[in-house]
Amino acid sequence: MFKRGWIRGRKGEDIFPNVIFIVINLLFFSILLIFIFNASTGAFIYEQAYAKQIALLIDYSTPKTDIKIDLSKAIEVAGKNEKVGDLVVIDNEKKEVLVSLTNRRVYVMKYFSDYEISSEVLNGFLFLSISEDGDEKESLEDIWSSNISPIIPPITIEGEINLYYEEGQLDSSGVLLSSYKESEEENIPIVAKIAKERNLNFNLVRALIKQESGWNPNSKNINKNSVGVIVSTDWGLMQVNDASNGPLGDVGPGGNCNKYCPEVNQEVVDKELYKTDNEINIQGGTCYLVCLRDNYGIDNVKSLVAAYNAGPGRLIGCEYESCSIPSSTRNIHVPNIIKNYKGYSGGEVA
Amino acid sequence: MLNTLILDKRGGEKIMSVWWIFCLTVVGVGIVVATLMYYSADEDVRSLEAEVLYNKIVNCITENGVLIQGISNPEFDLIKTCDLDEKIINEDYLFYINVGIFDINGNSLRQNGENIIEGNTDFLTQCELQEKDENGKETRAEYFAKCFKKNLEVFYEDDILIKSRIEILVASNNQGRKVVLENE
Repeated sequence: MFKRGWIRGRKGEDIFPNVIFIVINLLFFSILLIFIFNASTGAFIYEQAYAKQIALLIDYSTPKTDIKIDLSKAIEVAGKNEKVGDLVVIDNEKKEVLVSLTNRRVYVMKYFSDYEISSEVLNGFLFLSISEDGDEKESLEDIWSSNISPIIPPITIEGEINLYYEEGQLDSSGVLLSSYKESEEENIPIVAKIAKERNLNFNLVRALIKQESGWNPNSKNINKNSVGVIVSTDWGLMQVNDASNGPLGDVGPGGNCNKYCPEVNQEVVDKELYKTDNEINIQGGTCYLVCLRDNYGIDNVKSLVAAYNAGPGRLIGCEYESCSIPSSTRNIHVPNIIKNYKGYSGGEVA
Repeated sequence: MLNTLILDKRGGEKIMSVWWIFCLTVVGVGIVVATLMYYSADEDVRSLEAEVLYNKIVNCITENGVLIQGISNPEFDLIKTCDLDEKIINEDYLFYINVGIFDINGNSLRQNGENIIEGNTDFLTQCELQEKDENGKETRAEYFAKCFKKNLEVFYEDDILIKSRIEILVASNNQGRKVVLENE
């Protein structure tokens, strides 16, 4: 039956060539489909789309506007193309937006507004600060270092935030602040359990996750050095950094802080589970917080969350206010976490 | 292998005929060329850009529905007042702006009776050509500037508020460009 139905047809003809014929045709059309898919998601499409959207946004804006643009797709495409250097450049002289996601070309789009634009890429977002041409020029660094930040108003901590876990912190667990509410709801019990185990302030961990990933479990941020070479990537809810001489190196097997984190074992590192498993990602991130607090002795809330973002080296041996940390950490990252914390702990909702 | 692929039944088992391979090649090349052409073509945002420019001009020459002071003066500088870039508008010739200010009888409220005109005046002709004719037929030309035209009723302040009408025509031919970087 098998032989007759498969190798020979009912009339005795050989079916095998027909099968090969069908397979070859399927293969041919599959290759075509893959080609079309690759063409539709190629760098050129995104270069063009980003350049035009940014130019239109600039023209649509009025002076003293701040724009935040999600560059995650551009970073992803640039990563695939091993792009070296800036992805987006605003040429104030020629009034051009230049977007390059490969090392081969750049897409240029002009805008018609006579504005002076400061731009900076931070945590996967492009921040544009628009002022009228001829205004006193200030870099974003200067603006963020000043008392009034154009993006996030300065926030002070009212009262002391305890770094440690306390009974009663879980009472406000019903408050969801992120746009990834399902993810937040799903992962809150895990955060609560781990925060209690690690003696960490539950709401502070939630506030940090909201700032790091917005509770997006697929959040990914590529870090580059000053010449544009990719040095590490931050993964998942707590944006666990995979640098061997960074957080993962510290909490992973053989690291300074692995004693606090038996969960982050060789299997987790080898299988890169911190990228895909939310619980392990939270274990890794919270363990790094414990590492910063207990191993590096950073026990001030602002310093701790700043160290989580900028590395412990900048926060050791100095008071937070006098430590040399990036202005984006001081003026955006830390205030955001404090604001989130207030929202989660029943204060003003962020 | 090739023989097996293309031999007919006399020479062996036929899997694919030369004719079929030809068909696949034609289809494949056609799809590849069409895909490359489609995805390497510029996305046209000129109409959108013209509309953005129109909005920008309206917002800068009116305040709460009243035309700003000095707009009737022949020396009125639209480029500077509206934060537009002189070089992009008047040297690169990527845009065209035509602003007319009229009273309800259609008389110009500008002291010199002329519209405010900036940019590439060739675009005026291109815009007119693209306007629908009496039969509703539209001239389409890919390389013509995209136009946006709208009339707006506003007040003009001349001791008292006078009802007036502004006619704004803007056109954009600002298309992005791809620059190939030299290999290091």
